[in-house]
Order: sequence, then structure tokens, then C-alpha cells
Amino acid sequence: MFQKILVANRREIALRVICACKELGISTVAVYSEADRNSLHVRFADEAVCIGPPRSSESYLNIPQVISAAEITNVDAIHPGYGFLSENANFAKVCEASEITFIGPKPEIIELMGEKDRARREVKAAGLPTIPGSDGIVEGEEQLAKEAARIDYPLILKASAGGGGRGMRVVRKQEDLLAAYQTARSEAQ
Amino acid sequence: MKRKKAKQASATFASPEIQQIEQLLRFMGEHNLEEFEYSRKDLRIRLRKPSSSVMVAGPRMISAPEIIVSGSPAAAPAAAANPGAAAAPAPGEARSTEDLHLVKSPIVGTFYRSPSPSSEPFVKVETYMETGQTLCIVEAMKLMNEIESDETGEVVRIFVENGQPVEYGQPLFGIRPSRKK
Repeated sequence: MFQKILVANRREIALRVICACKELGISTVAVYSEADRNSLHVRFADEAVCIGPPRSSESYLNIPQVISAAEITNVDAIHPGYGFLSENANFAKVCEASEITFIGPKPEIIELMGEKDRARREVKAAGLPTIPGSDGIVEGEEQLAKEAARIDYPLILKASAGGGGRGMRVVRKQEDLLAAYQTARSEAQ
Repeated sequence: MKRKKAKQASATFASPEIQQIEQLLRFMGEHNLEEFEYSRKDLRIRLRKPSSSVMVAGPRMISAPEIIVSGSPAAAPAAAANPGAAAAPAPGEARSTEDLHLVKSPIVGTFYRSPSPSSEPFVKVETYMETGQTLCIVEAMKLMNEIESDETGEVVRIFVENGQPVEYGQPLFGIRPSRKK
């Protein structure tokens, strides 16, 4: 069991993890940006470290700052919560290299699941059920029309990149297909 | 952190007396309370004992019981200012550092005053600094990051001990700017 973990997230996500740690008797370290100085997660954790200015790219998403905070507070592990660095394979690798346990999947698994088409292929190959859909990436409008006709409406378009809900479009009828395809594409870029 | 509001102590607060505050402190002890807050109309009492939780930054630790009794509602919000908002120096320090330019840590890490354990510190109190001169090192992920002065003037205060952890935005040095500009 861990003695002390750092929660690399904020607000209710961090609180949820901190409360679970309290139940388990694990000490917690909160990190926060200057904008979240008065947030509840900062007060509830046993220790708190300010890791940057309000922009999350310079604080919660800034890997060196988060790792440094973990090092100066001497934690065994980092819990990323969800969002932010939780699906960042590189962060999981840096944790490993810094000899801090990343509470989450191995970097290879994060990478695999981040690429939607590869994830689908691997899951199918493992014999797990998947929702019916195209076999691999749909290339171009012609193939799209064919696949849409085969699957039938309503259907959902999902960009292979994207993430965080971007690049996903529900299509209810054929007339909307091409427009949805274009917006899904541009959104995921 | 425990934080409960006690309702049973009521009407006796019209004129708070030392005895009653003592009573309250005993009450807090009995019930294991770390913080006690009472407000009615324009009377507001807040008691807090040193918390068992440890903050990383040294200067923000709450070291003594804090007693705030404010008569006017206007003073209340100020008194309620969150202790977490404490990267700012303690009130006593604030007065002496008013005119100083604060050099704050741009990163999280470990503070070192000298380039190696055996060598002389980069700066001491009374050292005259030019903009761009190295003040200290903050080590992060085994990288030694030299922190440079962004002000020309005399080093008046050094807020952090050698080898202490520092967080983002924590004041490291107080520099009295030279007025020749």
C-alpha cells in the first residue's frame, strides 16, 4: 500500500481521490495553479504545492512541475484523476523513469487506447465484443457513403484523433452525412 | 480538516469576554475541534488551533491560535481571508517588505544558494545585484536551474533556507531596487 500520493488534478476530481485516500489512511499532496489557491482540494489534502500560473498548460499539464512537486514532497505515487495527464502516455513514462508509481495503465496501453482504430482492432482481436461499425478507418467520402449505407442510420462518426469528445458527430439521416464528416474532421485537427 | 459549527453556545456573546473565549477554547479541546466560527448580526468570532496538516512552504504554517473578534461587519470579510492564500508573507513581514522587489520561484523544486555544497553562496544579504545575475539554483528533476535576478539593487532578504523545497510563485529574495533609473 502507498504511504503518500500526489493527486495531479483539481477540484471535485481531486477531492474524490483525496477522500478515498483518507479512508485508506494514505497521506495526500494536492497541486494547484494560482487560480485554484482557495479550492477545496487544496485545503483537504495534507500538503499542497503551487505548480504554476492559472493556464493549465503551464500548471496541471506541465509534466516537469508535477514531477518536481512529487519529488519535493517525497510521494510514492501519483494519481492523475481523469482528464489532464491521465491519458498521457509520456507522463506515465516520466513517472516510471522518476521511480514514482503512476496510478493508471501502462504507457503502452494508454498509447494503444488513444488511437481509436488500433484500439478497436486490438479489442476485436482479443475476442471482446465491440459495437458494429466500419472495419478500420474510413478513407474518403465514397467509402463513407458505402459504409453508412451498410450500417444504416442513426450512426456516429468518430475521428481517429481528437479526444475529449472532439471529432464526434451523430448522424441521423443521409442528407447530413457529408456535412457531419467535414465538421468531425476539422474539429479533431 | 474538521470544521463544525457549534450551535449550543448562544446568547452569551453580546459582549465577548476573555473568560468566554477561554470557555470556547476548552469547548474546542473537548470536542477536538480545529476551527470554530460564530457569527450573529455584526458580531463574529473565529478561533483556530494550529492544524495538524503540514503545508510545504515554511512561512505559511499557522503557528499560534488565531483569535479574530470583529465588531464591524466591514472588517469581517478581511478577517475571513482564507489561510490557504498564504504565499504572501505573514502580516509582520509584509510591512518590512513593502518596498522590496520580490524574486519569486518560477518552478517547483529544491532551493540551493550555492552552485555546489562546498562553494560560497551566489548572494548574501547586502549583495548588490545586476539584472540577469544568478541568485540561486532551483533543482527540479535533477536539473539545476539557475534563477536570475530580474531587478538591479541590493539583496535585503532571503526568504528560504538552503536545501528547502519551494513551490511555484514562492518569494525567494527581497531586493531593494536602486533608484538611479
